[in-house]
Amino acid sequence: MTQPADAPLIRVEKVTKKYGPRTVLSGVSFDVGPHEIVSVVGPSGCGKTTLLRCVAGLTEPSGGTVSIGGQTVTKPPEGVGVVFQHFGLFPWKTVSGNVAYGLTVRGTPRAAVTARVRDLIAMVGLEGFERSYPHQLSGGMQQRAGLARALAIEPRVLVMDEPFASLDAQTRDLLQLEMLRILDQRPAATLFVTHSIDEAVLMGDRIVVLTGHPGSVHDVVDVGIPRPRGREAADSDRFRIVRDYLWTVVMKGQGNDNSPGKPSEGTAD
Amino acid sequence: MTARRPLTALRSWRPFLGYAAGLVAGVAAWQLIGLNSASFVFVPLTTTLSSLGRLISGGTMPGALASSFSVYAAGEALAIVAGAAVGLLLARRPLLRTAFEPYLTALYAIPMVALIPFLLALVGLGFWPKVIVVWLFAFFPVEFSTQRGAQSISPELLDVARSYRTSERQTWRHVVIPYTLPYLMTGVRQALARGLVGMIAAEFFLSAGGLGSLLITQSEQFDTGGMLATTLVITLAGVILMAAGRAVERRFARWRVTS
Repeated sequence: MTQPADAPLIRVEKVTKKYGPRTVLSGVSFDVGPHEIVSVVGPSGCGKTTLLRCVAGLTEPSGGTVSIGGQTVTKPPEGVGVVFQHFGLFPWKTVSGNVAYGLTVRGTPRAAVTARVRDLIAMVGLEGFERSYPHQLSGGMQQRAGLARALAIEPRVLVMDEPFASLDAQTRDLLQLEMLRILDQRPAATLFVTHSIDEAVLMGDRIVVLTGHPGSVHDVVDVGIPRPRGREAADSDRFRIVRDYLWTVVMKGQGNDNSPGKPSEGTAD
Repeated sequence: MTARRPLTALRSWRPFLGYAAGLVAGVAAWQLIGLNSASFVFVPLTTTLSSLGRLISGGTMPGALASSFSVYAAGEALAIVAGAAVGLLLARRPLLRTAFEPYLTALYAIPMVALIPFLLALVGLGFWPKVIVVWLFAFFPVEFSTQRGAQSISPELLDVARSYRTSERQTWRHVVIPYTLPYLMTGVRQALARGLVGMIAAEFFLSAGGLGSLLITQSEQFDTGGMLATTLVITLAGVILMAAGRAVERRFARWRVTS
Protein backbone atom coordinates (compact mmCIF):
# COMPACT_ATOMS: atom_id res chain seq x y z
CA MET A 1 0.00 0.00 0.00
CA THR A 2 2.24 2.81 -1.19
CA GLN A 3 1.04 6.36 -1.11
CA PRO A 4 2.17 9.44 -2.99
CA ALA A 5 4.55 11.53 -0.91
CA ASP A 6 2.14 14.42 -0.50
CA ALA A 7 -0.96 12.31 0.17
CA PRO A 8 -2.63 13.03 3.52
CA LEU A 9 -1.07 11.04 6.32
CA ILE A 10 -4.01 11.31 8.72
CA ARG A 11 -7.48 10.81 7.30
CA VAL A 12 -10.52 11.34 9.49
CA GLU A 13 -13.62 10.12 7.67
CA LYS A 14 -17.19 10.64 8.93
CA VAL A 15 -16.12 9.97 12.51
CA THR A 16 -18.94 9.69 15.00
CA LYS A 17 -18.54 8.97 18.69
CA LYS A 18 -21.31 8.13 21.09
CA TYR A 19 -21.10 7.61 24.82
CA GLY A 20 -24.32 5.81 25.62
CA PRO A 21 -27.18 7.96 24.34
CA ARG A 22 -24.95 11.05 24.08
CA THR A 23 -23.42 11.85 20.69
CA VAL A 24 -20.14 13.68 21.17
CA LEU A 25 -18.88 13.76 17.57
CA SER A 26 -21.00 13.58 14.47
CA GLY A 27 -19.68 12.97 10.95
CA VAL A 28 -16.29 14.65 11.36
CA SER A 29 -14.07 14.51 8.27
CA PHE A 30 -10.74 16.18 7.46
CA ASP A 31 -7.18 15.19 6.72
CA VAL A 32 -3.64 16.20 7.62
CA GLY A 33 -0.68 16.17 5.24
CA PRO A 34 2.67 14.61 6.20
CA HIS A 35 4.28 17.93 7.11
CA GLU A 36 1.17 19.88 7.92
CA ILE A 37 -0.01 21.36 11.22
CA VAL A 38 -3.79 21.32 11.51
CA SER A 39 -5.30 23.17 14.45
CA VAL A 40 -8.62 22.02 15.83
CA VAL A 41 -10.47 24.82 17.55
CA GLY A 42 -13.87 25.04 19.17
CA PRO A 43 -15.63 25.80 22.40
CA SER A 44 -15.21 23.48 25.37
CA GLY A 45 -17.41 20.44 25.18
CA CYS A 46 -17.37 20.28 21.37
CA GLY A 47 -15.53 16.95 21.36
CA LYS A 48 -12.01 18.21 20.53
CA THR A 49 -10.36 15.90 23.00
CA THR A 50 -12.50 12.94 21.95
CA LEU A 51 -11.48 13.56 18.34
CA LEU A 52 -7.83 13.62 19.36
CA ARG A 53 -8.23 10.40 21.30
CA CYS A 54 -9.72 8.74 18.21
CA VAL A 55 -6.71 9.81 16.15
CA ALA A 56 -4.27 8.63 18.85
CA GLY A 57 -6.05 5.28 19.02
CA LEU A 58 -6.92 5.76 22.67
CA THR A 59 -10.60 5.36 21.90
CA GLU A 60 -12.44 3.86 18.93
CA PRO A 61 -14.99 5.82 16.91
CA SER A 62 -18.58 4.55 17.03
CA GLY A 63 -18.84 5.22 13.31
CA GLY A 64 -16.52 6.27 10.49
CA THR A 65 -12.78 5.67 10.42
CA VAL A 66 -9.48 7.26 11.28
CA SER A 67 -6.53 6.08 9.22
CA ILE A 68 -2.85 6.89 9.45
CA GLY A 69 -0.70 6.12 6.41
CA GLY A 70 -3.57 4.07 5.01
CA GLN A 71 -3.90 1.89 8.12
CA THR A 72 -7.17 2.08 10.02
CA VAL A 73 -6.56 3.12 13.61
CA THR A 74 -8.09 0.78 16.19
CA LYS A 75 -5.42 0.97 18.88
CA PRO A 76 -2.47 3.33 19.45
CA PRO A 77 -0.48 3.12 16.21
CA GLU A 78 3.28 3.02 15.80
CA GLY A 79 4.94 6.39 15.29
CA VAL A 80 2.30 8.58 16.93
CA GLY A 81 3.54 10.93 19.64
CA VAL A 82 0.98 12.36 22.04
CA VAL A 83 1.47 15.54 24.08
CA PHE A 84 -0.96 15.79 26.96
CA GLN A 85 -2.62 18.85 28.46
CA HIS A 86 -1.45 18.04 31.97
CA PHE A 87 1.93 16.83 30.67
CA GLY A 88 1.36 13.21 31.76
CA LEU A 89 4.89 12.85 33.08
CA PHE A 90 5.56 9.90 35.37
CA PRO A 91 6.30 11.58 38.71
CA TRP A 92 8.61 8.75 39.84
CA LYS A 93 10.83 9.07 36.78
CA THR A 94 13.42 11.78 36.26
CA VAL A 95 13.29 14.06 33.22
CA SER A 96 15.67 11.66 31.43
CA GLY A 97 13.58 8.66 32.43
CA ASN A 98 10.42 10.30 31.15
CA VAL A 99 11.96 11.39 27.85
CA ALA A 100 13.36 7.88 27.40
CA TYR A 101 10.02 6.20 28.17
CA GLY A 102 8.77 5.54 24.64
CA LEU A 103 12.15 4.16 23.59
CA THR A 104 12.59 2.05 26.73
CA VAL A 105 9.27 0.23 26.39
CA ARG A 106 9.96 -0.60 22.77
CA GLY A 107 13.31 -2.13 23.76
CA THR A 108 15.72 0.32 22.13
CA PRO A 109 19.32 -0.48 23.22
CA ARG A 110 20.39 1.56 26.21
CA ALA A 111 23.28 3.36 24.49
CA ALA A 112 21.03 4.55 21.68
CA VAL A 113 18.42 5.71 24.20
CA THR A 114 21.00 7.71 26.16
CA ALA A 115 22.28 9.47 23.05
CA ARG A 116 18.80 10.28 21.74
CA VAL A 117 17.62 11.52 25.12
CA ARG A 118 20.63 13.82 25.38
CA ASP A 119 19.88 15.36 21.96
CA LEU A 120 16.20 15.87 22.74
CA ILE A 121 16.83 17.42 26.13
CA ALA A 122 19.12 19.88 24.38
CA MET A 123 16.51 20.52 21.68
CA VAL A 124 13.83 21.50 24.20
CA GLY A 125 16.30 23.44 26.39
CA LEU A 126 16.28 21.28 29.51
CA GLU A 127 20.05 20.76 29.91
CA GLY A 128 21.00 20.56 33.58
CA PHE A 129 17.60 19.15 34.60
CA GLU A 130 18.13 15.58 33.39
CA ARG A 131 18.02 14.17 36.92
CA SER A 132 15.21 16.38 38.24
CA TYR A 133 11.83 14.93 39.10
CA PRO A 134 8.74 16.51 37.48
CA HIS A 135 7.47 18.09 40.72
CA GLN A 136 10.75 20.01 40.94
CA LEU A 137 10.08 21.70 37.57
CA SER A 138 7.82 24.57 36.50
CA GLY A 139 4.85 23.79 34.28
CA GLY A 140 6.65 25.08 31.20
CA MET A 141 9.63 22.85 31.86
CA GLN A 142 7.39 19.87 32.47
CA GLN A 143 5.74 20.39 29.11
CA ARG A 144 9.15 20.70 27.45
CA ALA A 145 9.89 17.26 28.87
CA GLY A 146 6.51 16.02 27.61
CA LEU A 147 7.35 17.35 24.17
CA ALA A 148 10.80 15.72 24.19
CA ARG A 149 9.22 12.40 25.16
CA ALA A 150 6.80 12.60 22.23
CA LEU A 151 9.60 13.53 19.81
CA ALA A 152 11.92 10.78 21.10
CA ILE A 153 10.08 8.08 19.18
CA GLU A 154 10.63 10.07 15.95
CA PRO A 155 6.90 10.30 15.33
CA ARG A 156 5.44 10.83 11.87
CA VAL A 157 2.26 11.97 13.60
CA LEU A 158 2.05 14.32 16.59
CA VAL A 159 -1.20 14.88 18.42
CA MET A 160 -1.28 17.64 20.99
CA ASP A 161 -4.17 18.17 23.39
CA GLU A 162 -4.21 21.82 24.46
CA PRO A 163 -0.53 21.40 25.35
CA PHE A 164 -0.03 24.97 26.52
CA ALA A 165 -3.42 25.54 28.15
CA SER A 166 -2.24 25.07 31.71
CA LEU A 167 0.79 27.36 31.38
CA ASP A 168 1.08 31.05 32.17
CA ALA A 169 0.75 33.46 29.24
CA GLN A 170 4.44 34.28 28.88
CA THR A 171 5.57 30.65 28.95
CA ARG A 172 2.82 29.81 26.48
CA ASP A 173 4.01 32.45 23.97
CA LEU A 174 7.55 31.15 24.24
CA LEU A 175 6.65 27.49 23.84
CA GLN A 176 4.37 28.16 20.86
CA LEU A 177 7.28 29.64 18.93
CA GLU A 178 9.68 26.93 20.03
CA MET A 179 7.19 24.29 18.99
CA LEU A 180 6.98 25.88 15.54
CA ARG A 181 10.77 25.96 15.30
CA ILE A 182 11.02 22.30 16.29
CA LEU A 183 8.35 21.28 13.78
CA ASP A 184 10.25 23.15 11.04
CA GLN A 185 13.39 21.17 11.92
CA ARG A 186 11.70 17.79 12.06
CA PRO A 187 8.24 17.93 10.52
CA ALA A 188 5.38 15.63 11.43
CA ALA A 189 1.71 15.49 10.54
CA THR A 190 0.48 17.46 13.54
CA LEU A 191 -2.97 17.69 15.04
CA PHE A 192 -3.02 20.61 17.43
CA VAL A 193 -6.10 20.89 19.61
CA THR A 194 -6.71 24.20 21.33
CA HIS A 195 -9.54 26.37 22.60
CA SER A 196 -7.57 29.53 21.85
CA ILE A 197 -8.32 31.07 18.47
CA ASP A 198 -5.06 33.05 18.46
CA GLU A 199 -3.07 29.92 19.18
CA ALA A 200 -4.93 27.98 16.48
CA VAL A 201 -4.01 30.64 13.88
CA LEU A 202 -0.41 31.00 15.02
CA MET A 203 0.29 27.25 15.01
CA GLY A 204 -1.89 25.95 12.19
CA ASP A 205 -1.43 25.69 8.43
CA ARG A 206 -5.12 24.93 8.37
CA ILE A 207 -7.79 25.16 11.03
CA VAL A 208 -10.68 22.80 11.58
CA VAL A 209 -13.47 24.68 13.35
CA LEU A 210 -15.68 22.41 15.42
CA THR A 211 -19.01 23.49 16.78
CA GLY A 212 -20.64 21.67 19.58
CA HIS A 213 -23.41 19.35 20.70
CA PRO A 214 -22.68 17.11 18.93
CA GLY A 215 -19.26 18.23 17.68
CA SER A 216 -19.16 18.59 13.92
CA VAL A 217 -16.92 20.37 11.43
CA HIS A 218 -18.29 23.83 10.89
CA ASP A 219 -15.55 25.05 8.59
CA VAL A 220 -11.98 24.35 7.49
CA VAL A 221 -9.89 27.50 7.07
CA ASP A 222 -6.58 27.91 5.23
CA VAL A 223 -4.40 30.16 7.37
CA GLY A 224 -2.16 31.06 4.43
CA ILE A 225 0.78 32.38 6.46
CA PRO A 226 3.95 30.66 5.21
CA ARG A 227 6.31 28.82 7.54
CA PRO A 228 8.77 29.24 9.11
CA ARG A 229 6.80 31.65 11.26
CA GLY A 230 8.11 33.81 14.07
CA ARG A 231 6.57 36.33 16.40
CA GLU A 232 5.91 38.71 13.55
CA ALA A 233 3.33 36.27 12.14
CA ALA A 234 0.93 37.38 14.87
CA ASP A 235 1.28 41.02 13.71
CA SER A 236 0.44 40.38 10.07
CA ASP A 237 -2.79 41.51 8.44
CA ARG A 238 -3.46 37.97 7.34
CA PHE A 239 -3.33 36.78 10.97
CA ARG A 240 -5.92 39.40 11.96
CA ILE A 241 -8.22 38.58 9.05
CA VAL A 242 -8.20 34.86 9.81
CA ARG A 243 -8.61 35.44 13.53
CA ASP A 244 -11.56 37.80 13.07
CA TYR A 245 -13.21 35.37 10.71
CA LEU A 246 -12.78 32.52 13.19
CA TRP A 247 -14.23 34.65 15.96
CA THR A 248 -17.40 35.26 14.03
CA VAL A 249 -17.64 31.61 12.99
CA VAL A 250 -17.27 30.42 16.56
CA MET A 251 -19.74 33.09 17.78
CA LYS A 252 -22.22 32.11 15.10
CA GLY A 253 -21.84 28.52 16.24
CA GLN A 254 -23.00 29.75 19.61
CA GLY A 255 -25.96 31.65 18.20
CA ASN A 256 -24.56 35.15 17.48
CA ASP A 257 -24.59 36.25 13.86
CA ASN A 258 -22.74 39.14 12.25
CA SER A 259 -20.28 37.67 9.84
CA PRO A 260 -17.62 39.10 7.57
CA GLY A 261 -16.88 36.87 4.58
CA LYS A 262 -14.56 33.90 4.66
CA PRO A 263 -10.97 34.96 3.88
CA SER A 264 -10.14 33.99 0.32
CA GLU A 265 -7.26 31.65 -0.34
CA GLY A 266 -3.73 32.78 -1.14
CA THR A 267 -3.91 36.36 0.11
CA ALA A 268 -0.97 35.88 2.42
CA ASP A 269 1.10 38.99 2.90
CA MET B 1 13.90 43.45 75.25
CA THR B 2 17.43 42.48 76.26
CA ALA B 3 16.06 39.30 77.84
CA ARG B 4 15.07 38.03 74.36
CA ARG B 5 18.56 37.04 73.33
CA PRO B 6 19.18 34.08 75.63
CA LEU B 7 15.63 32.93 74.88
CA THR B 8 16.42 32.82 71.15
CA ALA B 9 19.53 30.79 71.88
CA LEU B 10 17.37 28.46 73.91
CA ARG B 11 14.89 27.97 71.10
CA SER B 12 16.93 25.45 69.13
CA TRP B 13 17.26 23.37 72.28
CA ARG B 14 13.56 23.47 73.00
CA PRO B 15 12.48 20.19 71.39
CA PHE B 16 15.30 18.39 73.17
CA LEU B 17 14.45 20.04 76.48
CA GLY B 18 10.81 19.10 76.10
CA TYR B 19 11.78 15.53 75.32
CA ALA B 20 14.11 15.32 78.33
CA ALA B 21 11.52 16.89 80.64
CA GLY B 22 8.89 14.40 79.50
CA LEU B 23 11.25 11.50 80.04
CA VAL B 24 12.25 12.66 83.53
CA ALA B 25 8.59 13.20 84.48
CA GLY B 26 7.66 9.73 83.21
CA VAL B 27 10.52 8.01 85.02
CA ALA B 28 9.77 9.92 88.25
CA ALA B 29 6.05 9.07 88.05
CA TRP B 30 6.83 5.38 87.47
CA GLN B 31 9.26 5.33 90.38
CA LEU B 32 6.90 7.19 92.76
CA ILE B 33 3.81 5.14 91.92
CA GLY B 34 5.91 1.97 92.15
CA LEU B 35 7.25 2.88 95.61
CA ASN B 36 3.71 3.50 96.86
CA SER B 37 2.05 0.39 95.38
CA ALA B 38 1.79 -3.17 96.60
CA SER B 39 4.49 -5.16 94.81
CA PHE B 40 2.00 -7.56 93.15
CA VAL B 41 0.29 -4.57 91.48
CA PHE B 42 3.13 -2.33 90.37
CA VAL B 43 6.85 -2.00 91.03
CA PRO B 44 9.29 0.94 90.65
CA LEU B 45 11.35 1.38 87.50
CA THR B 46 14.53 0.35 89.32
CA THR B 47 12.99 -2.99 90.30
CA THR B 48 11.73 -3.44 86.74
CA LEU B 49 15.21 -2.81 85.35
CA SER B 50 16.81 -5.29 87.69
CA SER B 51 14.16 -7.88 86.66
CA LEU B 52 15.04 -7.09 83.06
CA GLY B 53 18.73 -7.63 83.83
CA ARG B 54 17.96 -11.05 85.33
CA LEU B 55 15.75 -12.02 82.37
CA ILE B 56 18.52 -11.12 79.96
CA SER B 57 21.43 -12.68 81.82
CA GLY B 58 19.42 -15.85 82.56
CA GLY B 59 18.76 -16.29 78.84
CA THR B 60 14.95 -16.16 79.18
CA MET B 61 14.52 -12.86 77.35
CA PRO B 62 16.88 -13.62 74.43
CA GLY B 63 15.11 -16.96 73.95
CA ALA B 64 11.65 -15.36 74.04
CA LEU B 65 12.74 -12.62 71.64
CA ALA B 66 14.18 -15.13 69.17
CA SER B 67 11.06 -17.28 69.33
CA SER B 68 8.67 -14.32 68.98
CA PHE B 69 10.46 -12.51 66.23
CA SER B 70 11.06 -15.56 64.06
CA VAL B 71 7.28 -15.96 64.05
CA TYR B 72 6.84 -12.24 63.46
CA ALA B 73 9.34 -12.06 60.59
CA ALA B 74 7.84 -15.06 58.79
CA GLY B 75 4.28 -13.76 59.23
CA GLU B 76 5.14 -10.23 58.10
CA ALA B 77 7.13 -11.38 55.09
CA LEU B 78 4.34 -13.62 53.87
CA ALA B 79 1.72 -10.94 54.58
CA ILE B 80 3.59 -8.28 52.62
CA VAL B 81 4.18 -10.52 49.60
CA ALA B 82 0.60 -11.81 49.58
CA GLY B 83 -0.93 -8.41 50.37
CA ALA B 84 0.96 -6.70 47.56
CA ALA B 85 0.17 -9.44 45.05
CA VAL B 86 -3.54 -9.68 45.89
CA GLY B 87 -3.89 -5.89 46.10
CA LEU B 88 -2.35 -5.35 42.66
CA LEU B 89 -4.35 -8.17 41.09
CA LEU B 90 -7.67 -7.00 42.46
CA ALA B 91 -6.93 -3.43 41.41
CA ARG B 92 -6.11 -4.36 37.81
CA ARG B 93 -8.63 -7.19 37.28
CA PRO B 94 -12.18 -5.93 37.89
CA LEU B 95 -13.66 -9.42 37.56
CA LEU B 96 -11.49 -10.80 40.36
CA ARG B 97 -12.30 -7.72 42.40
CA THR B 98 -16.04 -8.25 42.08
CA ALA B 99 -15.67 -11.92 42.97
CA PHE B 100 -13.39 -11.67 46.01
CA GLU B 101 -13.65 -8.20 47.51
CA PRO B 102 -16.70 -9.04 49.70
CA TYR B 103 -14.74 -11.81 51.42
CA LEU B 104 -11.83 -9.51 52.11
CA THR B 105 -14.10 -6.80 53.48
CA ALA B 106 -15.85 -9.30 55.74
CA LEU B 107 -12.56 -10.76 56.99
CA TYR B 108 -11.14 -7.30 57.60
CA ALA B 109 -14.19 -6.45 59.71
CA ILE B 110 -13.76 -9.43 62.04
CA PRO B 111 -11.70 -8.68 65.15
CA MET B 112 -8.79 -11.01 64.40
CA VAL B 113 -8.35 -12.00 68.04
CA ALA B 114 -11.72 -13.75 67.78
CA LEU B 115 -10.28 -16.09 65.15
CA ILE B 116 -7.37 -17.30 67.26
CA PRO B 117 -9.22 -20.00 69.29
CA PHE B 118 -10.76 -21.22 66.07
CA LEU B 119 -7.33 -21.42 64.42
CA LEU B 120 -6.03 -23.29 67.43
CA ALA B 121 -8.68 -25.94 66.90
CA LEU B 122 -8.01 -25.99 63.17
CA VAL B 123 -4.22 -26.15 62.90
CA GLY B 124 -3.00 -26.85 66.43
CA LEU B 125 0.00 -25.44 68.25
CA GLY B 126 3.49 -24.70 67.01
CA PHE B 127 5.37 -22.31 64.79
CA TRP B 128 3.14 -22.13 61.71
CA PRO B 129 -0.18 -21.55 63.47
CA LYS B 130 1.36 -18.48 65.11
CA VAL B 131 2.75 -17.36 61.76
CA ILE B 132 -0.77 -17.63 60.37
CA VAL B 133 -2.08 -15.38 63.15
CA VAL B 134 0.59 -12.73 62.47
CA TRP B 135 -0.18 -13.06 58.77
CA LEU B 136 -3.90 -12.49 59.39
CA PHE B 137 -3.17 -9.32 61.34
CA ALA B 138 -0.67 -7.97 58.82
CA PHE B 139 -2.13 -9.03 55.47
CA PHE B 140 -5.17 -6.76 55.33
CA PRO B 141 -3.52 -3.37 55.79
CA VAL B 142 -1.04 -4.24 53.02
CA GLU B 143 -3.73 -5.58 50.69
CA PHE B 144 -6.11 -2.66 51.19
CA SER B 145 -3.48 0.03 50.92
CA THR B 146 -1.95 -1.56 47.80
CA GLN B 147 -5.30 -2.01 46.11
CA ARG B 148 -6.46 1.52 46.92
CA GLY B 149 -3.19 2.86 45.57
CA ALA B 150 -3.18 0.83 42.38
CA GLN B 151 -6.81 1.77 41.68
CA SER B 152 -6.01 5.46 42.00
CA ILE B 153 -3.51 5.64 39.12
CA SER B 154 -4.59 8.62 37.06
CA PRO B 155 -6.24 7.65 33.76
CA GLU B 156 -3.97 10.15 32.02
CA LEU B 157 -0.85 8.20 33.04
CA LEU B 158 -2.43 4.98 31.80
CA ASP B 159 -3.24 6.80 28.54
CA VAL B 160 0.40 7.83 28.28
CA ALA B 161 1.43 4.20 28.70
CA ARG B 162 -1.09 3.08 26.08
CA SER B 163 -0.17 5.77 23.60
CA TYR B 164 3.43 4.53 23.69
CA ARG B 165 2.15 1.02 22.99
CA THR B 166 3.33 -0.27 26.35
CA SER B 167 2.73 -4.01 26.78
CA GLU B 168 0.80 -5.20 29.84
CA ARG B 169 4.02 -6.50 31.41
CA GLN B 170 5.83 -3.21 30.79
CA THR B 171 2.82 -1.26 32.11
CA TRP B 172 3.13 -3.16 35.39
CA ARG B 173 6.85 -2.60 35.53
CA HIS B 174 6.97 1.07 34.54
CA VAL B 175 3.63 2.42 35.74
CA VAL B 176 1.51 0.27 38.06
CA ILE B 177 4.20 -0.97 40.44
CA PRO B 178 6.20 2.27 40.81
CA TYR B 179 2.98 4.21 41.32
CA THR B 180 1.71 1.76 43.92
CA LEU B 181 4.94 1.33 45.93
CA PRO B 182 4.41 4.29 48.29
CA TYR B 183 0.87 3.08 49.03
CA LEU B 184 2.18 -0.43 49.60
CA MET B 185 4.71 1.00 52.04
CA THR B 186 1.98 2.81 53.98
CA GLY B 187 0.31 -0.58 54.29
CA VAL B 188 3.60 -2.12 55.41
CA ARG B 189 3.98 0.48 58.13
CA GLN B 190 0.50 -0.34 59.46
CA ALA B 191 1.14 -4.06 59.08
CA LEU B 192 4.33 -3.87 61.15
CA ALA B 193 2.29 -2.50 64.07
CA ARG B 194 -0.68 -4.81 63.68
CA GLY B 195 1.54 -7.84 63.25
CA LEU B 196 3.11 -7.13 66.63
CA VAL B 197 -0.34 -7.24 68.22
CA GLY B 198 -0.97 -10.49 66.38
CA MET B 199 2.28 -11.96 67.57
CA ILE B 200 1.58 -11.27 71.27
CA ALA B 201 -2.05 -12.37 70.98
CA ALA B 202 -1.03 -15.62 69.26
CA GLU B 203 1.46 -16.34 72.02
CA PHE B 204 -1.19 -15.78 74.70
CA PHE B 205 -3.18 -18.62 73.20
CA LEU B 206 -0.88 -20.86 71.24
CA SER B 207 2.52 -20.86 72.73
CA ALA B 208 5.06 -22.50 74.93
CA GLY B 209 7.60 -19.78 74.17
CA GLY B 210 7.89 -16.18 73.13
CA LEU B 211 7.16 -12.84 74.74
CA GLY B 212 3.40 -13.38 75.00
CA SER B 213 3.68 -16.65 76.88
CA LEU B 214 6.44 -15.17 79.04
CA LEU B 215 3.97 -12.46 80.06
CA ILE B 216 1.32 -15.05 80.93
CA THR B 217 3.76 -17.10 83.02
CA GLN B 218 4.98 -14.00 84.85
CA SER B 219 1.43 -12.89 85.64
CA GLU B 220 0.55 -16.35 86.96
CA GLN B 221 3.58 -16.11 89.27
CA PHE B 222 2.73 -12.54 90.37
CA ASP B 223 6.16 -11.51 89.01
CA THR B 224 5.18 -7.88 88.43
CA GLY B 225 8.77 -6.75 87.86
CA GLY B 226 9.19 -9.39 85.15
CA MET B 227 5.87 -8.46 83.53
CA LEU B 228 6.78 -4.80 83.39
CA ALA B 229 10.23 -5.67 82.02
CA THR B 230 8.69 -7.82 79.27
CA THR B 231 6.16 -5.10 78.48
CA LEU B 232 9.01 -2.59 78.26
CA VAL B 233 10.81 -4.82 75.75
CA ILE B 234 7.65 -5.21 73.65
CA THR B 235 7.10 -1.44 73.74
CA LEU B 236 10.67 -0.82 72.66
CA ALA B 237 10.30 -3.31 69.80
CA GLY B 238 7.10 -1.54 68.77
CA VAL B 239 8.77 1.87 68.78
CA ILE B 240 11.70 0.59 66.71
CA LEU B 241 9.38 -1.10 64.20
CA MET B 242 7.27 2.05 63.88
CA ALA B 243 10.36 4.14 63.18
CA ALA B 244 11.59 1.59 60.66
CA GLY B 245 8.16 1.59 58.99
CA ARG B 246 8.09 5.35 58.70
CA ALA B 247 11.62 5.43 57.32
CA VAL B 248 10.76 2.84 54.68
CA GLU B 249 7.58 4.72 53.78
CA ARG B 250 9.46 8.01 53.35
CA ARG B 251 12.17 6.38 51.28
CA PHE B 252 9.64 5.16 48.71
CA ALA B 253 7.58 8.35 48.68
CA ARG B 254 10.50 10.51 47.56
CA TRP B 255 8.94 11.46 44.24
CA ARG B 256 5.62 12.43 45.74
CA VAL B 257 4.76 16.10 45.80
CA THR B 258 4.92 16.55 49.53
CA SER B 259 5.57 19.69 51.59
